[in-house]
Order: sequence, then structure tokens, then C-alpha cells
Amino acid sequence: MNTILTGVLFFSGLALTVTVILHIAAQKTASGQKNTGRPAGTNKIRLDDDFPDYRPRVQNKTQKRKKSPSRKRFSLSGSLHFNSLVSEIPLLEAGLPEYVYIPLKLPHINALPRLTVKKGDKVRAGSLLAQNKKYPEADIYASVSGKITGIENISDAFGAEIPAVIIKVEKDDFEPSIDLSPDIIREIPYSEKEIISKIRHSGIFSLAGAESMENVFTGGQKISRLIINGIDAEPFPGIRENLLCKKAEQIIIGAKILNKAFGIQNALIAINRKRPDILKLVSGLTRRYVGVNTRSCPAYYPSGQKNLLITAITGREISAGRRPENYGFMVLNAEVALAVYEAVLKNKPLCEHFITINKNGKSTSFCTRLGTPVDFLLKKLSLSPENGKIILGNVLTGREVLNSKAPLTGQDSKILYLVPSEQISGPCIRCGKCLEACPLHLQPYAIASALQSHDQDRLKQLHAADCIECGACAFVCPARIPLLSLCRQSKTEFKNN
Amino acid sequence: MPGAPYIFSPLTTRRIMLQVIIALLPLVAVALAAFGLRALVLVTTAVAGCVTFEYLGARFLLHRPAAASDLSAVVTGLLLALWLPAGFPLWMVLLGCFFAVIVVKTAFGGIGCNLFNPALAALVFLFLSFPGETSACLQPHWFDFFSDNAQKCTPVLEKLKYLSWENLNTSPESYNLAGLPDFGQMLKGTTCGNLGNITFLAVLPGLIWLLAQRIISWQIPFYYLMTFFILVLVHWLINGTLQNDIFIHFFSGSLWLGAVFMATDYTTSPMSARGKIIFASGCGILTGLIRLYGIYPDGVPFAILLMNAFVPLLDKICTPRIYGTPRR
Ligand code: SF4
Ligand code: SF4
Repeated sequence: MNTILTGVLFFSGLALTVTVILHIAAQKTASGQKNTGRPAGTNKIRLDDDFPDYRPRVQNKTQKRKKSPSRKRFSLSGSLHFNSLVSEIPLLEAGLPEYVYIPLKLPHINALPRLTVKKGDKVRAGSLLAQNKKYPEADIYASVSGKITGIENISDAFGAEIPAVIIKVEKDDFEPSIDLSPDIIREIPYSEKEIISKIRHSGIFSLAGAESMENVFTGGQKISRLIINGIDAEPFPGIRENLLCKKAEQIIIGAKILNKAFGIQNALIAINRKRPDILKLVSGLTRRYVGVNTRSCPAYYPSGQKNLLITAITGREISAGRRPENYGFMVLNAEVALAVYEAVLKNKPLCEHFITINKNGKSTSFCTRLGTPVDFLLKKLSLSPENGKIILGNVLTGREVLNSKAPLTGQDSKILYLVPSEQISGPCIRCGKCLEACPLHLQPYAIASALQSHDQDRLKQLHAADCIECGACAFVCPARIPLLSLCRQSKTEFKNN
Repeated sequence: MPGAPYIFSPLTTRRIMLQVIIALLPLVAVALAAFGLRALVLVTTAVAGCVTFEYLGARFLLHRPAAASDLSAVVTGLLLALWLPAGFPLWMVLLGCFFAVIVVKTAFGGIGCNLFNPALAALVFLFLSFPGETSACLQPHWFDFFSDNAQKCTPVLEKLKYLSWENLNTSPESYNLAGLPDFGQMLKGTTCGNLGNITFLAVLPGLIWLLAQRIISWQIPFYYLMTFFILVLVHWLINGTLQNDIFIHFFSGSLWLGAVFMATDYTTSPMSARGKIIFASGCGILTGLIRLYGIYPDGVPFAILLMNAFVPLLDKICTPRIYGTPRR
């Protein structure tokens, strides 16, 4: 008996050893070999596990509703919730850089403005640089005072060539017509027409999210509801909640101006449900303003997205290919409302915008002049692009900055500084997590495999073109399949066909 | 295009497998305590076999050796061992490992590509090839690690299947007469069974762990157990005999093991919530039908394997409505 037992013990010990050795061997090969699994493995960068600032979880509950519209609500289940520790973020003045570069063509505006200045001219902050008489939305304003040292092609943050005006900063002053006092003006002494013309001639259409307004100006849709988006709901806090803390009243007045301009009865300021402090502050202020209300909204990623915000508030879904304006909704970001206030009541065209810089979960917001180079802000925080990656945009969707001398435009609001670490992608294990995470209920794994087989019909069937490129699917994928890149690719594939 | 996102949820394939292994540990501990050395040998052989074949398969068939590092072979090995009776011949275990890893998984293209659950398919393979050995269960000899006089016994469900009808009704004496356990015995794990199914209690910590870690969704275990329970309950209420005793059916055999660990396998279960519900209900109904009318005492492996075959279909038809498209 004893001999048998010894033999058996010996065998199991041997088996265990073999297991361990094989595992170590397999792991070695895994780390030595980078591009392994399907789909064509791409390496990923990631932060370390013990990242301080977020705890993601996928919500499984259907969202509760307050006022029930008669329609059945789209279930907002399975979106990403980032319980970021929202703390007060400082909002600093970035100051003046040595040079600013002001792009002459805005990517989302088709009309081209004509230059009104030439090389060597002196300009003041807030004066016109380029004008389109028929389409004033495309106008370009100087954001600093100084001398134009060149009008030439520069390379933007991702390496593309864009025409730009280069201004050497000389003085810190503005056009004399601009009201620079910090007092808040509460009366709106202008008529609808005057307001609209002031907004159109203010250059605020370079801000992200102002396209809605542009569409209404050109398309003339009737707007019945204005929503001011004050939700960041991103892994890292952004500027909107910060602005609502610090400039709430100006934003409310901006909403009132917009109400008047578009003949809207009621504007809603959407506020992150996890920030009761902001809700308290803003709703205390809105009591003084008729026609502006607050609404606390579920803060999940990506609820800052226009269409999803409308769905969260009203229960209406925006079909693919249509715009909120077609349904009578207009969603504007809090920054835009602030810019409207300044343009209309302070006569100030868009010169400044807000950038939040995040390093390892710690954020700082800056108010900077348009066209400030990226590295000017980086230097402010003594970050150098050599050690880490500079990402322009959201941590789930942003793109890596290739040229850190490139200027920031109104489309940018976030810079991230990350130290990269390797991610290895493996084969899809069919866990269904991407499906759960997609806010539109698409099937990212299926889109990825349809893309690999170039199956156009299948892509169409899967509504691949509806994807809003939020990156939630790629975030949750345990196999680290680059689902976001694949979804983007499938969208371009659509466009090309 | 290298790119976004730049942060990821901490869950990786490897981590998921690790969580499943953690969830399986209570079961392994119970098996070791109940069957001692025999369980240890069986478990280590199965795990070592699966890992070896996984490595060889990944290396020489898939040509991506890294594929073996995701711990999934360990899970397969553990599950396979838990479904086998103590004292199962080791060369048959290795054959089962080969079948599970190479034939069912690697040959289809590795993790994520297999149609059937590897451990279950291997189990059914062993069951069909060696019916005698797979049903030769031992009576648990708790906390007697080196016991060498373990008795052969017949699993409860097998007893039910081949029960002779004379003198038996649903009175407590008949239970004794037929050698059926009462509820207490089923909880304590003194009934006859495989490594993993002598008591359903051992499955519960794993179930709670997997749900808490959000590794599995609640739908599959819940609907599996519920449909099975309702089916057998109705059958029992209409015509209650010893053979369809609802408590014995619900708490013995591999029902819980299957519902928690086998039916929830990512690769071989549907992805959408609705698909999962249909899949799990199908498993529950099939298990019930096989147990009540079929010739196999414990229908769980067959039921799940059958439903596995439906997964591609379910994935096709049970897709959620996409945002902005008309309501169906
Ligand atoms: S990136 Fe597209 S497919 Fe992925 S979760 Fe977002 S919307 Fe869905
Ligand atoms: S999350 Fe990744 S592994 Fe899971 S189903 Fe989607 S693509 Fe596959």
C-alpha cells in the first residue's frame, strides 16, 4: 500500500511541476511576442492597474425616470460608470505664449473666409483676421494682440498641414469695444435679430459642440428645447462641471440669451447626478431666471454625447443620420453658453477657451487663448513629451499628439499626459462585455469580425456606421481587441463605398 | 492606427480565468476533503494534462504559443476533474484532456472559437466510451486522506432511474428502503457522487464570487435552475413518486455545478441577455426532460452540450435593439 501511495504522490508532484513550468514558459513567450492573437494584434498602451482616480463598473440597472414621457424610454443599461473622485479642480489663467497660430479653416465649417490682414500688420485681440461676408460663422478673430509674422501652412497636432496666421504676442490688451470688467450683466437689452447677428459675428463656431447652432442658423429649424450640457461623465473630470462651479451665473444668462434668440420657452441645464453640490448651486441661481431650469442626469460614459443626453432627458431617440435639430432639440455645451454670454453682453468674440490637463488622474484647467501651442501649456505644468505620451481628447477616444508645437483649437478641451505600458491583445473570448458596454447596443465584436472579412452587407446590417466612437467597448474588452480602431475603420470603409 | 483607449478595465482574459479558478477552489477543497488522495491525483492529472495539451496545441497547431498563457486550460482541467468519480483511471483522464483541449478547442481555432464546452464534450466522450468507469462512484470518506477502503456506491440519480417500484411510495420509509438520502445528507455531502457533486453547497461560494466579480451574469444560473425547478415541480405535483422527487432532483447530481460553471462558459453561451435567458431555459428544460424521461440519470452534460449547438443561432436572432432604430 505504502509503495503505491508514494508512487501516486510522486506522480502528482511531477504533474504539478510540469504545470508550473509550462505556464512560466507560455508566459515568457507571451511577453516576448507582441502581436499575437486575432484580430491582427495591435499593442495597447495602458496606465497601471492601481490608477488612483477611477473605478469603472458596468451598470446593469435600467435608469429610473422622473417625469415619465408617454414613450418607452431607451434603456440606458450597460453603460460605463466612472466613479471618479470629483474634487475641485483649479481654473487658472494660462497667460500669453510667445506666438499663437490661428488656423484659417475650421474642419467642420465648409465656407472659407477671406483674409483681411497681411503679414506685418498689427492686430488686437478680438479683431477680425479673416471674414466671410455671406457666412459670418466662418469668421476668424485674433486671440491676442501683436504683430502678424506669417501666414503659412503649419502642421497640426496630428501631422496634417493647415493654413494658419502666426501672431507674435506683444501686448496684453483687447479691442476697445470689449467690456473687460468682471461685473455680471443681467439685462439683455437686445432684440432677437441683434442677438443672432452678434452670435453669428463672434467666432464661437470654432468651439466644439457649437455646430448645432450653426445648423439652426443655416437650416432654420424650429427649436423647442434647449439643453445646456454641463456633464463631463468621463473617466477624468473635464471643464464643464468646473465651469458650472465657477461661472454658473454667466452660463445661465447665456442660456437665457439663447432662449430669447430662438424663441424657446425653457432651457435645461443638465447636471451630473453625482454632483449634488453643483445642482444646489445652479438651481439656487436659476430660481432668479425665468425659463432656465436644471435637470440632474445620470452620469455614465458617454452621457456627454448629445444624442444620448437628449434620450436621457426626454426619452426621444435620435435616428442615425439625423440631427437633434431635426427633432427640435438643441444641445450646447456649457462653454458655448458662456461664450454666447460674452459675445452678446460683453461684445467679446471668442478669444479664449478652456483646456483641462490631466496627469495621472490629477486635473488642472486653464483658460487659454485660441491658438496657444500645446507645449506652452505642458511647460506650465512642467510636463515633457519625452517621457510620456500626450493625448489630445478623452482618455477613451483621444489621439496621440505627434507635433507638440501645434496650436490648440476650439475643438480641443482636454490634454492627457500618460506614461505608456504594454497591452497584448488576444483572441475574442465571446464574453459579451463589449455588447453590454455599447451605449447604442451595437455588437462591436461582430463589427470587428465583419470588418476583417470585408463584409459590407454584414456591416450595414450591424449598423456599424451608427457607432459614435465612444471607446466603451474597447475599454471593457478583456481580450484587449482594439475595438475602437476597428469600429472607426469600418466607418471609413463605409464612407469609401 | 495605434490609439485609444489608453486605459482599460482591469479585467483581462487571464484575470477572468483566475477568478473562475478562485471560484472553483471551494469545490476542489471539498473534493480533497471528501476523497483525499484520489481527488488530489485526479485533479492534478487533469490540470497538468490540459495545460500540457494546451501548450502543445498552441505551439504546434495554432503557432501562437502565447495563447496557452491565459489559464483557460487550468479551468478546463479543474472542471473535467470535478465531473469524474474518484479513482477514475488516469490514462482515461489524459485521454479526456486530449479530447477537450485538442479536439474540441484547439482544432476549432483556440479559445473563443469552440462550439462546445471542452470539459463537457470530453466528459460526454469519456462517458460514452467508458460508461462503467465514469459511473463507478465512491462513497466519500471525509477527512481520511489516505483511506484505502473506500466503498463503491451508486449515485443518487442512478438509484432513482433504476428504482424498482415494488413497495415504494413517497413515505419516509421508502426513502430509507431505496437508500435515498434526505435533505440533511445532501447538504453534508455524505451522498455518493463525483468529485464535484457530492454537495451543492460547495458551488454556492463560487456562484457568489463570480456574480460579485461580475464574471458571469445572473441570467444563466437563475433561469437554468428556475426552469428546471418549475418543470420538475409541476411533474412532481401532478404525479409525485420517488422518482421525480423535487428535492432530490434539485439538490443532487451536477445541476448546480453545470448551471454555475458550465452553462456560463463565455465562449459557448450566447452574448446578449435575451439569448442567455433562452439558452439557460433550454438547458433547464432539457435537463429536466432527460432526467424524467431519458435513459441518462444526470442530464446536465447532454442538455448543456445540446444547447451549445444553438448558440450561433441565438446570437444571430437575439440581438438587442440598436439605438435610434424603430422598435420591434
Ligand atoms: S465605440 Fe462604437 S461600438 Fe464601441 S461602444 Fe462606442 S458606440 Fe458602441
Ligand atoms: S469584449 Fe472583447 S472578448 Fe468580449 S466579446 Fe467583445 S470583443 Fe470579444
